[in-house]
Amino acid sequence: MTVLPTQLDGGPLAVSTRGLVKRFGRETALNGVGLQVPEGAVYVLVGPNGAGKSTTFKVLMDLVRADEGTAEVFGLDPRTQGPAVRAQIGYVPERHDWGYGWMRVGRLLEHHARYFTGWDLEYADRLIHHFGLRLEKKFGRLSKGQGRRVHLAMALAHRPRLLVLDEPTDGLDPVMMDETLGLLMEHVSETPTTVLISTHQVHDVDRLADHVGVMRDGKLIMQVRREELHRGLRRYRAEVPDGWAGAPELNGSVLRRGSLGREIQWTIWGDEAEVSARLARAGAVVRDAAPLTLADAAVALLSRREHP
Amino acid sequence: MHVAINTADPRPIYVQIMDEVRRAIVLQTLRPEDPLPSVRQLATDLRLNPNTVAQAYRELERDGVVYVRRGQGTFVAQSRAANGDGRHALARAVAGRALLDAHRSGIGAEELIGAIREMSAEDLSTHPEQP
Amino acid sequence: MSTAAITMDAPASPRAPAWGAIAAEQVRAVGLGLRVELTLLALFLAGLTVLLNVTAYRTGERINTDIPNVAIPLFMLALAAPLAIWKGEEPARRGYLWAMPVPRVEHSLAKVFAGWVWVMGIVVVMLLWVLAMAWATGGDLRLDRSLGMLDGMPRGARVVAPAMEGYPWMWLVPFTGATVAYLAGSILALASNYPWRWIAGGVFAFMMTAMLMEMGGLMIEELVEDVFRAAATVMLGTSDTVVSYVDARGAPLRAIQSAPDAARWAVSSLVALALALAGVLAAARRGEER
Repeated sequence: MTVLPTQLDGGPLAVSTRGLVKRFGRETALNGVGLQVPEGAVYVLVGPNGAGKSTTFKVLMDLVRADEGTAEVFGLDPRTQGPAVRAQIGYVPERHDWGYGWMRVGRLLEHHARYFTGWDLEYADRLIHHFGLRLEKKFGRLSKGQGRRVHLAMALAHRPRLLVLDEPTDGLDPVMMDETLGLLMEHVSETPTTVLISTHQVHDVDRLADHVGVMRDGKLIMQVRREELHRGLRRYRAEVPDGWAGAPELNGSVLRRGSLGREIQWTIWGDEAEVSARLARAGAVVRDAAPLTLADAAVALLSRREHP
Repeated sequence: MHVAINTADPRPIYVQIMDEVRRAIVLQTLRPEDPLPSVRQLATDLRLNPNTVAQAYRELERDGVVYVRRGQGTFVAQSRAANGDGRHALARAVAGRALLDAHRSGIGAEELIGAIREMSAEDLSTHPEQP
Repeated sequence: MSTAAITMDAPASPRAPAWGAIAAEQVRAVGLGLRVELTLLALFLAGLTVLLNVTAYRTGERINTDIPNVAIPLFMLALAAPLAIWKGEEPARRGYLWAMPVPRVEHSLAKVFAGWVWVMGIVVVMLLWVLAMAWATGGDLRLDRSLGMLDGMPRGARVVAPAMEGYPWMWLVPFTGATVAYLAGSILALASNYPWRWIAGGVFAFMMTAMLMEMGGLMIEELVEDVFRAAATVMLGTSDTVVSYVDARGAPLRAIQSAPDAARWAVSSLVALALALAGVLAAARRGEER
């Protein structure tokens, strides 16, 4: 059985949780989540809807209290030092109606600015311009995508140390999404920021991620640096003889199997040389061991029937 | 310099950036003392993580392909690494990719080289003006 | 430039916003949020002004300032105001307000305070309006209430309400009463995502109990008379009917049943205010950092 890595080693952490458990009635939303986001990372948390991504983020904002476990944001406990923690986070929530629907966009930004002393007026103006925000419109009348952009401007304009973005591209059309990602990367280039993004549309953020967490059923089943994922998770294509019995040495570690005639296509986590050797010992001729895109990797990891 | 990045490419993104810079130098679209785009600009334009761009620039600097002038940015180096060697390195990288592809299709190196010779001969006969 | 993304020099935690600024912003924001409601109220008052003045002009009737009768709609308004003030906040779901970088109990109280400022503003406007109406029609200040509640008034008798001059503290009653009602409404708004259901449920339960008791030959007032008296004192300054009536020639038939009592009012109001404040604090502590 392959054990997927869930610990990041070394370096100061912007966010660190240990054994977070949260139950809503009979539902277990979080089941022992140990999130580790290094300072300066662009960490992408991948998982289907209902995997527990939003709940984890809410724990960091102290919008949800965990039943068990601890959380730290820059060494502060969100439960006891909530104001100091929230002051350092630019938060884009999952919900689109977050904020005052009866306020005009400009007034809502002004309201938000009064709470964040680091609000950069000039930068806010630039964001308003780039996002094409219409200040005179009522916030509650905006479309999903327009509302998202207002939330992003609210999160970015005070240049927080940590951005917690819950599905930030949800509702954006492809052009807007592309521009938004550009703005986000410009922001990260200009301001020392740690970024924690959740998404179920992994493809959008493939280029951004340098750390990847995969969540499913309230558990963090994998947490690695992007390079490590690139190295360790591969799709092997190999020719196998007629009536091939499989590779007993790899039992339990194949995340995904496919085949075409006598060619197998297996997605496996592990050291490439070692996996290739095991396949060869089983009589297969390895033709290719290609790394996966983030989207493919997510599918491979999330569609596993069993996970450790 | 136009940098093309493909997330489906087996090379890590920072390697793709390095290869693109090397390619631009070989094609002479980037010449010695030319500035490279800033990390911020490249990250913004390509929607890339600035850390990845910075990593590529660091590796290029270590290889002597580019150098950093404090407070001014990154420039193409006036070195062999950036020219003759770069050309050779690029050719090897292309060959490596072709070999990998051939292996994937169950084709040996000799067979591949034969096919390349054959094709470039055909190419010459149809487009004789090209070298 | 290129190193900015790599090296993280830890900036100091941003300065906390000043409470004065937060309270002022809340007052402005709450006012903005109540804009529709306030406009409707102003339109209603304007309509009523026209109607009353036209009637007074036609019939030659004078409009007397009538604090208790203004007080009752004011209290209902004050009770419902928090529902408008807290719309969209959904305390139990911990919405936008709870994501702000300030201590939550104090923040909730700042918003309650901001709403209270506006409610007091409404009380002032209503009292001024009543005074203006009395002035415009040549009426005067009276404690005039529950005319229909006197039994056995002989034919031809006329009601004479006592004048306000004797009870200057009665001017405070709408303020304190509205404050208590507002705080009570705030408890609902802070403690529940569905305050309307609580209000509707409360009214329904009251009516059902009253109906059942009446069927059993009991009046609800008899059972909880003290509570009713206390509540009326807080809201209206007195728990009794404060009118006398005279016969057709003007000879007094009956004296004031019970004059407004400043001490009783003050004690009841203080107790009610303390209870309501404690309730608001308890409701606000739901989101406390521990």
